[in-house]
Amino acid sequence: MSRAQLVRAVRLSLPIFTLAAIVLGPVFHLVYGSICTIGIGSITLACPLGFLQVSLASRSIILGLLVPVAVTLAFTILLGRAFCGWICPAGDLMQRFGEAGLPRKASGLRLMNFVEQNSTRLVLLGSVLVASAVFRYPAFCVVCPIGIICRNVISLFQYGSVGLDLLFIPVIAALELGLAPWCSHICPLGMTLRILGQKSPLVPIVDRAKCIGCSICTKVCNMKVALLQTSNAEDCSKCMECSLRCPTKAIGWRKRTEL
Amino acid sequence: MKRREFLKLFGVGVAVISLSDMLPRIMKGKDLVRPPGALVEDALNAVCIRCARCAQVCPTGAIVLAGLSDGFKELGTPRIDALKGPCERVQGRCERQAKCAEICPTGAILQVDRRALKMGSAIINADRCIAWSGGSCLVCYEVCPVQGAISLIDEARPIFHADICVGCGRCVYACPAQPKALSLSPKGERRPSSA
Amino acid sequence: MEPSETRKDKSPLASVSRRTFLKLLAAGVSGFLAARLFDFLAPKTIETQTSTVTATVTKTITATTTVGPASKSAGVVMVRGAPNVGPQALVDKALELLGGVEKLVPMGASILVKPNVGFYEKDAVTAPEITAAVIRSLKRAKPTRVVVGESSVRGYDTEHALRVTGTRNQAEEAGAEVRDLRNDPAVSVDLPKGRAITSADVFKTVRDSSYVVNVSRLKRHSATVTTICLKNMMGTVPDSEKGRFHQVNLSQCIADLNSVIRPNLAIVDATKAMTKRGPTGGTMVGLNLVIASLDPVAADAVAAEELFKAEGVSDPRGAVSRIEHIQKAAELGIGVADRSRIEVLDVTLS
Repeated sequence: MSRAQLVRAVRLSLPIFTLAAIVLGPVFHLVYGSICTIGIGSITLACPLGFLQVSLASRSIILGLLVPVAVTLAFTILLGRAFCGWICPAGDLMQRFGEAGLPRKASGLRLMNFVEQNSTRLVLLGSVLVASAVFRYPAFCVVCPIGIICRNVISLFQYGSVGLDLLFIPVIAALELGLAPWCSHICPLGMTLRILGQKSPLVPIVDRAKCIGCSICTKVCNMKVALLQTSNAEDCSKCMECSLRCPTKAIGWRKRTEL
Repeated sequence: MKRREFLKLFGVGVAVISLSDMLPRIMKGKDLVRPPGALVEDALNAVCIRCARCAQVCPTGAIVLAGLSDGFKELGTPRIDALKGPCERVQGRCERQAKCAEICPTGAILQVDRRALKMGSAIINADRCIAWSGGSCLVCYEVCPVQGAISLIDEARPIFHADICVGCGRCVYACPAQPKALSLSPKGERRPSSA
Repeated sequence: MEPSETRKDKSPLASVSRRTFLKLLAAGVSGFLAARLFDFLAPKTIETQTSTVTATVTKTITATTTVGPASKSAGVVMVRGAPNVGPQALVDKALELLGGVEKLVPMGASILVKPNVGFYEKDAVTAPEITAAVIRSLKRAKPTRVVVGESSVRGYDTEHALRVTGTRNQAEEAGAEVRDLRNDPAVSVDLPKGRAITSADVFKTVRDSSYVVNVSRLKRHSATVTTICLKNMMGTVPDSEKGRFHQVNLSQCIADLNSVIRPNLAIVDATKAMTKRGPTGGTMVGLNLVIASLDPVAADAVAAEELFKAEGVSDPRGAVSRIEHIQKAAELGIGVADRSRIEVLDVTLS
């Protein structure tokens, strides 16, 4: 097995393994929860965006989530959007939807392509937080594809039934087709992780001496990081596709040094 | 095109905020029976992070996650489905402490004194009841863990006292009539308003 | 921009080799299956020759009444104990008076002990000490296995009931295997003599046992007046079947069930009896009494009479004659309910 195959195999299986742990964990009293809040033994992690929404919705700081969010924060500060590239079950799904269904030409029609990637996401994230505060419920948690997948997988295993909310998934995937790629241009959790993890020391670095300017790295990047134009890889999900696909092996993963 | 971009961004924000307001109004919340010690409805919908831990830890499987038909705001929050199992906070595996309250990370479900518990009330549909139709069945009376919640007329037909009933759902689960003669309603529930 | 770029470039994950993916999937699935298989193959008692529990019609009780180790089998024996007499002594004496376990139980039998553990409350279930005492006595007959099996009342978890009443602990200490019958598959059994039902689903363990010992607690019951040996057999059927009995005609169904799934030995735990109200919430009366018989109907009739006596009912025998399921069981020929035709041996241990 080549290195590339190994990396891709792990990236494919980790989200499945995570869902399996969520479903089987309670049976063995080892793992409880879903990606929203998950406890593995005595260690608990929690979604930072979820924390923000429920805190705003209830106009109080949810103390029980402070430590789990802090643990997640520590991982995010170190690893940036690695969750997106390695664990998230939804992103994978929708990426495939988008890649498979989108005709080459139609990408030009995408609304978000006319709109700058970061400001759109900031507005989306901000509106979600404002909505949570004003309408007193976590506005994104309800429709979050990650939450929907986790809860339906749990329901399926426990009761043999799934909910109508699964229909949100194709709706969101349709946004991916018609508007913009979900992971890089829409997902508010992704944006949250980007903001929190922007100083991650683990980033792809292009060795300009070896680089031939083919831009394959940019084309394969799920997060649409234009690696050749910028050293700003804040959206990087550490999926390693760029480095694996680079024909001259010009991309390395080193700790960020002062540039 | 700064102005066009600004308008698009503004439109996006307005769209998200409007949807967040409209969708709960279109898919209105139903009256749900909640786990023992769940906060009052508005607080619960605000604080619950929809992580499903309570549903996983419940020893009887009584806690299920609310679906879209239960309301948009309520989606993913825990509710008691007596057809899946009774709540054993009053008698059984959660007598010492409610496992759901113990595992809830946000405090949407609190530990409350089981002697002061009121999750709702059992409601009887006498048309469907075997005893009220002349047969011999008093399963609800036999399994009820709270003395006085069900009493008998002529030692044969059950009547329900909502003021004593705790709303654990055991009678609903055990009722052998098909379709069930009993249902669990949140009527009369007492829930904490905050931590 | 290269003109020859293909869709493939945009889908890096699609290029994971199929072989790798299949390998990973196979590994994951095998791991899961291995865990399930291990659980499935966990050591169980190996069942030997299985035989169905058959109905035998009891003829009129004829019994000698000599008391002592040489006595022949009596109709119903009642062993009362002074306060210092323990459960093992009561049980041992009762079985001795019936002829002794070695005579009653065929050697190498596959025994099912069916206690009443329908609820979480200790008062409402067969005293675990009595269940344990019965197991220890039965072991003297050198059975192949002794299984304590039960499925609790609908809405109660059998495992929790077995645990919290102390039944599981004490029964396992006495050397029996304890089973939640709800985990058993159900098998259909024909009830040719049945009047309300002509077949019933029964848990496999019950049908596959060659000797059934019913160890019930003496209690009142809101729907059936008393719940003793005959009603205790309801724990041998799945919840859906229990429901059906209530829908059709509870008393007749209890009788119909016992016509085929008939206990070989009926022991009634009246160390404490639940009076006035049941099957839970009644007034407990300490009688320190064990009743035993090879005839479950006679056991019920005699035990019910004792219960009414303890309550101070004016015409206890008359009250027993109005208990439907006992009378219906007698009508089906499962046993004798007419007290005047039952020989009772009443013994007190001090």
